[in-house]
Amino acid sequence: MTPPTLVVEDLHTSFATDRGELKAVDGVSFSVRQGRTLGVVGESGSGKSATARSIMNLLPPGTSTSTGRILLDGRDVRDLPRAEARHVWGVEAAMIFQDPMNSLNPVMQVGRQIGEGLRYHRGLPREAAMRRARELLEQVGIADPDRRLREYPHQLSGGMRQRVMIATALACEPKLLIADEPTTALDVTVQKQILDLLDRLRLEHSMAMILITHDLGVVAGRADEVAVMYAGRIVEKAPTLRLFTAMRHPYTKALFESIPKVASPSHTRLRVIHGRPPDLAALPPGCAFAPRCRHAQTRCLSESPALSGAGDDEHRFACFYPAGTSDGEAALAANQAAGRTAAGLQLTNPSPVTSGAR
Amino acid sequence: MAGVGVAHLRPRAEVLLQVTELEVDFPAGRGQRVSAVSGVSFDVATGETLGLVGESGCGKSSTARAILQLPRPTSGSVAFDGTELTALRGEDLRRVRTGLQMIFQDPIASLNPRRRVADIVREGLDIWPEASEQATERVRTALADVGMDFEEAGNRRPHEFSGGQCQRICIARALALRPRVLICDEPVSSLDVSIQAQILNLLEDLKELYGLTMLFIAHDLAVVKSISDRVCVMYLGRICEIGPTDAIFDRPAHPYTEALLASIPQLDAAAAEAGALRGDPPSPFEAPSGCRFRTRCDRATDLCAEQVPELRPAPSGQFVACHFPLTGEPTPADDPADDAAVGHPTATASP
Ligand SMILES: Nc1ncnc2c1ncn2[C@@H]1O[C@H](COP(=O)(O)OP(=O)(O)OP(=O)(O)O)[C@@H](O)[C@H]1O
Ligand SMILES: Nc1ncnc2c1ncn2[C@@H]1O[C@H](COP(=O)(O)OP(=O)(O)OP(=O)(O)O)[C@@H](O)[C@H]1O
Ligand code: SF4
Ligand SMILES: [Mg+2]
Ligand SMILES: [Mg+2]
Repeated sequence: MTPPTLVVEDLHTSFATDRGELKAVDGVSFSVRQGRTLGVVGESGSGKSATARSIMNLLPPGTSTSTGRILLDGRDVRDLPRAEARHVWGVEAAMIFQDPMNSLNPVMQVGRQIGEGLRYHRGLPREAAMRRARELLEQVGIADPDRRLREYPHQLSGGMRQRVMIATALACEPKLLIADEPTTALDVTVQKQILDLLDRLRLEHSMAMILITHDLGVVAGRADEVAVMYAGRIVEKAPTLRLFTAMRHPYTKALFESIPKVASPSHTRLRVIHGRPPDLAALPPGCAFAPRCRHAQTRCLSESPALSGAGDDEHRFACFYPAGTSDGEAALAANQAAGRTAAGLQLTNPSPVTSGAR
Repeated sequence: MAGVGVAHLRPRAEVLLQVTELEVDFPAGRGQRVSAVSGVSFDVATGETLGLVGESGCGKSSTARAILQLPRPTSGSVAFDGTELTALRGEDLRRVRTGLQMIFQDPIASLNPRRRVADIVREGLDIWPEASEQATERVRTALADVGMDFEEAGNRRPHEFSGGQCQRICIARALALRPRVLICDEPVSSLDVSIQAQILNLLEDLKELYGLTMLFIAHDLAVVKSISDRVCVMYLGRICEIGPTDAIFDRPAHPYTEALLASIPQLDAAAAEAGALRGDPPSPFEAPSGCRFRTRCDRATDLCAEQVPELRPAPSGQFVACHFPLTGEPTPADDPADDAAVGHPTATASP
């Protein structure tokens, strides 16, 4: 088997803030093969974008520190000479963002924008770059490409802008495409169009893809493998179907249960995850999810669980008392009997409404 | 302009809020006007939650604001508990409007950063003298009802709270006025899913506790389904279909609703490969003639370009505005071999 297109090993990224060092990415490792999609899911602030930006060398210089290995086709991109590194980040890897308006140049025509990378990195003459830009616009499903080539980003709808962003990212035929919340700002019908498009292009170009989203539904149908992030760490990682059929980490399970489902009857009570994610500048010892976890025991408050598979290399989780295992279910039962977890979380779930109004 | 029908409305005496033939136009420069809401009619009975769903720009917020007369609709009627709001002015309007409160998508932006939480929640209670016991009690109760503590939170300012907590403060501010109708405009769209669940459950509890009637706006179909008794689907300023939540979700009658439902990412990892909707929504400056959905609809015929479809009853209990609804009537696309990929002659996208 060919080696993975991307290997990330023990990535740590932190930011200097006025409250001290903020650990945005705290020991993340994964790999993605050619033609495959890794879905990265997590709530706001869990470190998804910081991971992506670390890989793409897009961290703010000065205020950020990042360690760990990033191997693209077996070469550590952080060890490469400057010129080669520029080639890697300009040609071999590309990224698209949630808000295409922020990454497109507002005063440059769409055609020039798409062709720019080709002229700079591949040395294509203007005419050839334009021809290629036109082809790319067609590939990403933009009707009337000749007219669109000469338009400016503000003349396009949100969905079309994202298509242009994708065309720009694909221009140099990258091996790796990172899509950071590519559809979060779009309507659901347009979201489907864009995700279908990314799927098709990934296959046609045999790219490795990282699809970052906060929506478990988006990765469910699209990713080969899913990594769930919480407080800068991967807390569970598995092939998609296995993750959805056997969620082990209490956070993954709780996240899933807190989402309203179209298949459930109206007024179905949602399961709530009490509290909020921890402050990354002042992480408590132990498992970062412990204060909100229904399974938490004393051990969780002092020891940090490693991402391990209990003999299963494909499905890994970072939890001492995983859901669906005898240890995990016993821990939950004990907490329920006591009415509280080791971290003091009440399990009887009293309704938040406490006083009468009328 | 032709409306899209009022056959689905219940008698005015049986409902708390009734909106009839609402039109909202905005001036859009060079003498042009955008028709943001056109011929929209619906009603909400006491204790009911009506979900208003549709994609960005379809007129959900404009509808909500027109109900509150902020700004007044271009035409149409809004009756709240039998009182015609469009006929009220000044102090009369202000007094009646206290009964209708609204919360918004961006809770942090809707709170004055310089004011203390207790003062924010007290804002609308100016009928009572500033320090009155009664007003303070109202604020204390409202905060407690949204799960916040007056002593702990009252003296702090909004920036010290997370998005979810700011939404709780906004809800408390609305509740302090003891409204009968709570209009929620995308109240959970900017929140993380785990916080979204907290707010949705809270709204369900408060609805019971305060006997609220709700108009709940969202673009997330699962969220709308979870909280609504009835649902109204909008597209480009018009109603596509309206009726009981289960009917709309289990047996959609409008092709647009069907496309919306098919676009939802499926959580069971076995995504249905149902047809994606083609094209982008048309610009509101050039709303298509007849049915505004026709430029993206696989069933459209010449009739759809010529006549605005009126809301008519569909077999599963909702009302649908479509010349060729998915149930009942024969359709131009009812030959199963003639599948969605085969476009109909008039179904090409507008320029
Ligand atoms: N340039 C920066 N300086 C300081 N802190 C930062 C910076 N960028 C990110 N952070 C912090 O790092 C943490 C992780 O942020 P990141 O953007 O990776 O989250 P995310 O998972 O992408 O969230 P979202 O879903 O909101 O995009 C957050 O606490 C964030 O505030
Ligand atoms: N004050 C205004 N002036 C001009 N046009 C407006 C104004 N407010 C809204 N519009 C236009 O009216 C249409 C409907 O807008 P509205 O905000 O009601 O949609 P919405 O369904 O709430 O969308 P979203 O989901 O994005 O909030 C849009 O085309 C919008 O651009
Ligand atoms: S069939 Fe006609 S009326 Fe019905 S949605 Fe399609 S275009 Fe509109
Ligand atoms: Mg991000
Ligand atoms: Mg709106």
